[in-house]
Amino acid sequence: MTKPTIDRRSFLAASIAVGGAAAALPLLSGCTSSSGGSAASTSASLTAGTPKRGGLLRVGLGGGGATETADAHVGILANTDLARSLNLYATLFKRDPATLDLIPSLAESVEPDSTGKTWTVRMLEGAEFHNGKPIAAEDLIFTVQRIFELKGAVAELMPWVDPAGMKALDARTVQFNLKTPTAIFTEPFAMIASGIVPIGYDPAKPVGSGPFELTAFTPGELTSMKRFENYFGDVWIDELDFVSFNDDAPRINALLAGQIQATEALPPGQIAAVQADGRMQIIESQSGATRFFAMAVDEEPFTDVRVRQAMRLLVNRQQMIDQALAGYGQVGNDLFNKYDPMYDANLVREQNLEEAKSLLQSAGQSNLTVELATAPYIAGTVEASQVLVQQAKEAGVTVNLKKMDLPAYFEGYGKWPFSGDFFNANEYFIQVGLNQLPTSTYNITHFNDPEYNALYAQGVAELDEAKRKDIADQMQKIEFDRGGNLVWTYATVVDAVAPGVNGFVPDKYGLPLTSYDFSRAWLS
Amino acid sequence: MTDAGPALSDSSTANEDAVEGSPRRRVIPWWVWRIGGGILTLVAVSILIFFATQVLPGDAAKSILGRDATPEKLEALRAQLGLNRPALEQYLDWARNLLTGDFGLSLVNGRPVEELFLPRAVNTLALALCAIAIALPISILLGSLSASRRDGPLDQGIAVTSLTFNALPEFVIGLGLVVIFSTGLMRILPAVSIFPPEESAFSNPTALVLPALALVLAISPYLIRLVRASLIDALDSEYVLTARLRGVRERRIIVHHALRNSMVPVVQGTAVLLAYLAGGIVVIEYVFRFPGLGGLLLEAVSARDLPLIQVTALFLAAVYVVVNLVADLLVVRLTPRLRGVGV
Repeated sequence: MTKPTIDRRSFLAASIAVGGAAAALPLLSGCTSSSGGSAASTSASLTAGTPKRGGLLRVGLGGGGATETADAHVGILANTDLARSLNLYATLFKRDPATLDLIPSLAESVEPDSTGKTWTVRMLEGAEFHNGKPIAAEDLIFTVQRIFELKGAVAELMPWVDPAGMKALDARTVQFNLKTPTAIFTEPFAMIASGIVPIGYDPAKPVGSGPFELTAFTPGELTSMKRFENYFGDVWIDELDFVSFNDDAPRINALLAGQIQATEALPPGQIAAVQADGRMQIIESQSGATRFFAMAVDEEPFTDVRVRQAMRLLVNRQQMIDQALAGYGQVGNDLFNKYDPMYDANLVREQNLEEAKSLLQSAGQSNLTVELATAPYIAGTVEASQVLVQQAKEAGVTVNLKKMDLPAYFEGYGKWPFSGDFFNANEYFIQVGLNQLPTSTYNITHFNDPEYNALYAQGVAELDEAKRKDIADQMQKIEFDRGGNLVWTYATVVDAVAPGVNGFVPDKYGLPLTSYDFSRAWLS
Repeated sequence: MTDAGPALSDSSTANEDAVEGSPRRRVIPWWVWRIGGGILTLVAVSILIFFATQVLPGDAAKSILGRDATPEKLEALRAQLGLNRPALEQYLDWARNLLTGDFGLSLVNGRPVEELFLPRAVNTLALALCAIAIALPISILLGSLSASRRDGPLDQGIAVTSLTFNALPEFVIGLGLVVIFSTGLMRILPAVSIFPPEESAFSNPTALVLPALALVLAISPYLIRLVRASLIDALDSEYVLTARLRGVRERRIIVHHALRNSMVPVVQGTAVLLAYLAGGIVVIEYVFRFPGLGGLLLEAVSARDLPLIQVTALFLAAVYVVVNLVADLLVVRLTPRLRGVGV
């Protein structure tokens, strides 16, 4: 390809504008959007100045040991997996970090028919894979079929897609003939494990179309990437390294010693120390990502809705956030993603010990004892569990902690009567598909409410947004009144980058470092 | 007591066995028995590890799938990894392959175990050798000075300092060094090891400095006290008294007579330390993100990666056996009284 990059860039800006997404423009032009929402503590220098090309950025991330993978669709668990996936593989859509709106990435346009039963996806013209192959309709079809064949996490989020019902209309257009109509066809194609791969993809030689291509990868240790020169958007840095860390303290030390120039999700206890050092830029992102305890509605004593409500009422959420997360979080209201347009802000849960006690008494559970399964599956969970033990005492409830390592916790995942989990800030109906339906992999509360399920079926196919919001409100009311989730916080993610590292903005989705979007990073 | 600290008693018993044992034993040198015993130990260790990992909750399939582990996915993955076969069959298969030189594949990422294991072993070797090479001469020097100036201010100073470092947990020593040399006072040394996996610690000497220094500070107190105690024993002995009465200079007594005789417990202490350094430095590896064997074993256990656990643990057990055997051979060399016993 001998054409100067600028041609590609201006062409793409135009083609995306045609696709109807003006919001994509600031992202494509590389100037980062400065509308960081309510999180304002980000240093001005992070977003100021004109981006320039060049340099190596070395990032320290939470590793997954030998289980780390470069596969686009399955086994993506550790933070390094997420970051690798998001930079090696382009997805059809991305999220705007400030609004969580979907913006086209590899997609040029996505159009439903009048019923939502047929959707037509058109991809960018001229985009290509790392190996030089132009991205074509057959690759999208192959990708979706691979996701279903390997039972990737995304397959479950789009049960309406028929892997045999896709048709290439032309070189870059695919028609999806769905099993059932849906209004949220697009959202799963913004999920991490939905990266578009070329037909014949081999995960051992991972080829994608993301901003960076892989040069070396040793699971649990080091990932090296270089800029993909023919990427369809802007990429500023020449080289990108991910260093896997098993432990937080060395990760922070490596940042302070200058061995890495960026790191994610500082542990709450270390934020003050990094700030005290004075050199690092802090990126604080208030997000809609949830951290919650989960009560299985079909297991004693949680079969009684009064017990579930009492547990939700006895928690002092602000205190829990202060003690377990050093204050870095917003109070949760037992509902998911407070920044979703479907979120019902009228439903607010506050601590009420009297009501909790009286509910327990009427349920005949005045001396309730429960066991809470916990493990360090995400920062602060074990600490929050310990706070819960203390707070429950005030309502006469004894919580015994069963603390485990991760394999032991996951051995019983979905079977513990009382445990916990976390999610990023997903779109409401996607979130319901993830963990609130009888078919959901992550439904650890075993929630299965006929009225709720019927509302979901109705809402997911409702193309009218106002009507869909009305249905979502009814569903959230049910969750609020009789669900099993005790959402205690919407997490605040705090990242740190060295001086001279620019381009990152606060992100409401809950993934660190602006959802690991290193195409926006540049060095000064 | 002229020859030994308490540590010698084990091997001297073994050697006396060899001398006074049955006629059959007298024909076969004692170290052949030791090697045979070592091999039996390794077999026992491998069986023990295998069945211990069977008892742990969770398996490799669970750790690969994490919370995505639906029953169907688990079933498929377990079948693929051969985890649904009877435990005994899995063990015998593994043992048979090992005997033909096939260390097996990691359950977690399908790579040959030796590919994961060897680079880590080389790094650990580099670190352990550096630490011992620095700690040993320093300890012999400081221990000798302490013993020869017993109860003087120098002795007491060394005692207090070494007791302090002995009492500090290794991670405190490690983090303290990081604050001094990497992130706080001075910024002259790397806080963690970051080098491409195809390179070893030998080719990244700056990455070795702080972990090695932390280990030197952690193990030297033990060696210093060992040297001091056994040298004091030697200096109190009759042959030293005789030498002094004959007017031999104190310095010559220490260097040529007492120190040589007091090396026996030091050799054995060093052997114990080497075995410890081979596997027991997980904490130091974590603090400095050093890619060594301790962390590998920990990761393998938390991923329930059986072939990797087996090979790593067996290697560490083999290090114990070999290092102790070598130490005993050295002790026999250093102790003229034992030289007749078939070496």
